[in-house]
Amino acid sequence: MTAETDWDAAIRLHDRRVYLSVLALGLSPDRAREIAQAAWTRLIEQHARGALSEIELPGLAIRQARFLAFNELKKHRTEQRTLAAVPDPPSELDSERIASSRQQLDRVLAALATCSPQARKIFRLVYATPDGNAASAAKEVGLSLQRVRQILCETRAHIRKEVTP
Amino acid sequence: MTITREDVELYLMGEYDGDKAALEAAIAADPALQAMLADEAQLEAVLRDAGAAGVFCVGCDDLVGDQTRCAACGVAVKPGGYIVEEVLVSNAHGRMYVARDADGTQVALKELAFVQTPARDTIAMFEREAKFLRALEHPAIPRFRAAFEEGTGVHTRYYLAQELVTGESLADKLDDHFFTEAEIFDLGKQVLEVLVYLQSVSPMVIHRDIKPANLIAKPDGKIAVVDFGAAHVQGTTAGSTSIGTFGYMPIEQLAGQVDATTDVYALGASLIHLLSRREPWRLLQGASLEGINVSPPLRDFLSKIVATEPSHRFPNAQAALAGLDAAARGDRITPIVAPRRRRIARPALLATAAFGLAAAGYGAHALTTPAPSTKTGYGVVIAQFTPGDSAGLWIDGESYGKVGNFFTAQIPIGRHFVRIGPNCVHPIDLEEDGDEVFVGCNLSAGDLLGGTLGIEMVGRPYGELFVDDVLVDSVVSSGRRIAVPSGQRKIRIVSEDRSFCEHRIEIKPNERSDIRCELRPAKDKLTEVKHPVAGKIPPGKSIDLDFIQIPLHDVVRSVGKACNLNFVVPDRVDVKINVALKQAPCDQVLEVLLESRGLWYRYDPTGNMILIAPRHELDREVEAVAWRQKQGFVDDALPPGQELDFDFKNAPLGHLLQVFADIAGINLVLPEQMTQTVSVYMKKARWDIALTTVLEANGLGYRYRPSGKILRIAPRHVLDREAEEQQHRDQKTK
Repeated sequence: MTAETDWDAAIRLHDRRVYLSVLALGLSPDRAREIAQAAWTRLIEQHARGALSEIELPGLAIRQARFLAFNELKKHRTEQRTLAAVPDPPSELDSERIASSRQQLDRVLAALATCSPQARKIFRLVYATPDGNAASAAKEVGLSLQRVRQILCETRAHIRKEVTP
Repeated sequence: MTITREDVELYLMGEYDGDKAALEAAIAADPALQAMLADEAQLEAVLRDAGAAGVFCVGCDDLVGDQTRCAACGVAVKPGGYIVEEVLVSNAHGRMYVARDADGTQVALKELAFVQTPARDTIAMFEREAKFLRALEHPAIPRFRAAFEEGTGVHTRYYLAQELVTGESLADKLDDHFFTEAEIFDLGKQVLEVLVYLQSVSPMVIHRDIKPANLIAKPDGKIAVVDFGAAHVQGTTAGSTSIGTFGYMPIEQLAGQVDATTDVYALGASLIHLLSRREPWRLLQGASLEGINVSPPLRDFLSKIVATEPSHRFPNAQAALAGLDAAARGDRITPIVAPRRRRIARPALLATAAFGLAAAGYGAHALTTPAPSTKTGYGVVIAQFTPGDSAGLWIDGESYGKVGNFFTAQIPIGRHFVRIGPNCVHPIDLEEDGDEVFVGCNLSAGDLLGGTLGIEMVGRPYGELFVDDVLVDSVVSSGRRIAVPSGQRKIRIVSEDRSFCEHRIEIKPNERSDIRCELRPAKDKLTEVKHPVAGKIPPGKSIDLDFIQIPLHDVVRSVGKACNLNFVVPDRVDVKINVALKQAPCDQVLEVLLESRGLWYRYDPTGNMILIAPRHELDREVEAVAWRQKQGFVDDALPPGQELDFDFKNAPLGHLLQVFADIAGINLVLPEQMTQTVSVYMKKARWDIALTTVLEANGLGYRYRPSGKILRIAPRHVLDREAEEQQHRDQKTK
């Protein structure tokens, strides 16, 4: 990755995923958005300095954002004397965590396979298509936007039920 | 503000339509909502990862994981490194995909599939297409990218990657576009330039399947010629393989003969289709190009380009292009046809226009099947009448609507019956290509004498009306009033199931007479009868089938090929099939497929021939056969013919029967109206069994006269009625 436009494209493609990973840690939406932006800024700076030998997105951005988020939480909870409750961020990718993520992903895909063909199609159009959203999916499948959103929520509920232990 | 989980979900998906700031404030103020948000954000992140990691089938959206092919519908995932993005066409022979190569360029990826290990000739055909495309270089021909194969045995798939031509086929464009003469000139010129190029390479390439569906109008207005799967290099293919599309291919192509006029003819037929919006085989089989509103030079050009006799056509694409340029300049082309002979239809009929002869005209109408002739070509009928400016015109029962004086129609040579007005009928004989015949009628009071017949039908809604044993109307129903010549008339109405009513009635001039037609069943229902040739399909070998939404005749063709069975499928059996079977025996496959659609088969072991039809039709045919046996009616013996290799889809029945007759070297008389189409797949099939099965599939029968080698085809119920009447006459004589 060399040009600024490439970073723009990468941010457009992966920013939401990075933002969600921070939000999942329990930060407020505003703070999560700031941290995601900060993570991207740091990566761009490090890249400009030549400090990044290999860029794998969105993994690298997610790790960077989570690192910043953990620091934020640590600082916040130190103030509240609750530091002990906050786990340290993993400094490197540990194999156990990767395996756990992989298992979770497999469970989601297995749950998805049991959904209706229409639900799978809408899922693909929203989650597996660049710039996919409910409006474009509705146009593609010939349903109303409201119905597509309803199907998405039903699919999420089904998957949540299947993957929650 | 009440926040639901759905609100949070939509917010995380970026789909929340409400006040986002208020929502975020509400979440920030409520720890429970914060926990819900974190929880849902975690799920959303996993779903996004799943979306990125999951590989979805573009055909059915099933998850395919690391499989090379979707287990549900068979669509390829990443053949040869090309990522499949869309399925353009899917049929029994394979699929056409839009795929993306490693550089991100979109290509058209053609996939050939097989239900058994591909035969050598199939592979050869594929390799030939790849070879053609690799060698061809023209802006209107998709550029070759790559050819490769994947899998082994029955799972073998051949792929051909070509430049993706974006645009709309002219066949699709026809749905919402009326082509102007200027557009036709432009299209013709563009395609002819491609054909000139194909004919200039050495050896010459003949596309063999030029038709609107294979001509793509690109967004810039240029035309691309696609699908070289049927292409042929002159001098390489022996035998008489019939490849092409009915109506667009010249008659000699049916016998496997192709030359420099073949593609030019097909282009002409395509242009006629685009102009007239009628399938070209209907137009060329019937009357003429008269119904097409174009300038005389273009009409001349089109007449010449689709001349039945190859020597009358433009000799090659270059000559046709010169002809088109001349027509565009307004120059008339001199047709290369035999000298015209102008004649006048029998004056005796004209002079005596009284009703007795009008009835004779009706009588003659019964003979509307053209006399057997081996000649081909077209003649012209010129209609003249008085008094009045317009009158209804019918030729062989086909209405030409109200026409003016001196209306001309081009029709195939042979015997025809021309009716002007209600009662003036003339038989005419066009003997040579280019003949002109005048038909004149005096439509004064004398001609118009006659009454009307009111019909009330009981028991059956429709029937065929015969006046003095002459078919006058093929569909009559209650409430119809029909003009009938005055005098003592025999009126008979026959329903589809062969039940009939008969009346002898005096028709008075200018008066109405009514009949009530109670259609009684003609025959007692015969139970527990068996078709004389019905048998059980041998189990055969085990095959794999993997089709989704494929027309039945395509599936049947694949089964026939894999199981060495011959098939006849009338195209009124128009159903689509979803099937995914592995290692199933041939007989089981067929029975399950047909049963699921209310269809069944009749298998003739002698000819290894299978007729597919709705089950109730087959049952009815069994009853009819038994009834015929009981009556002592026996089909005439047919002469032996050579073995047939046919593979036709949606072939017009009339054309197919003509091919049967040509192969056996016999004369053929066909019924007036033949609009059916049929799909056949036959390998080394017995000529006689193939013919009788095709006829049976369409409710037809035959009479054969060995002395004149004349085969007359007619609806079964007509032949049955004739046989009954003959039997009646014989009994009377005794």
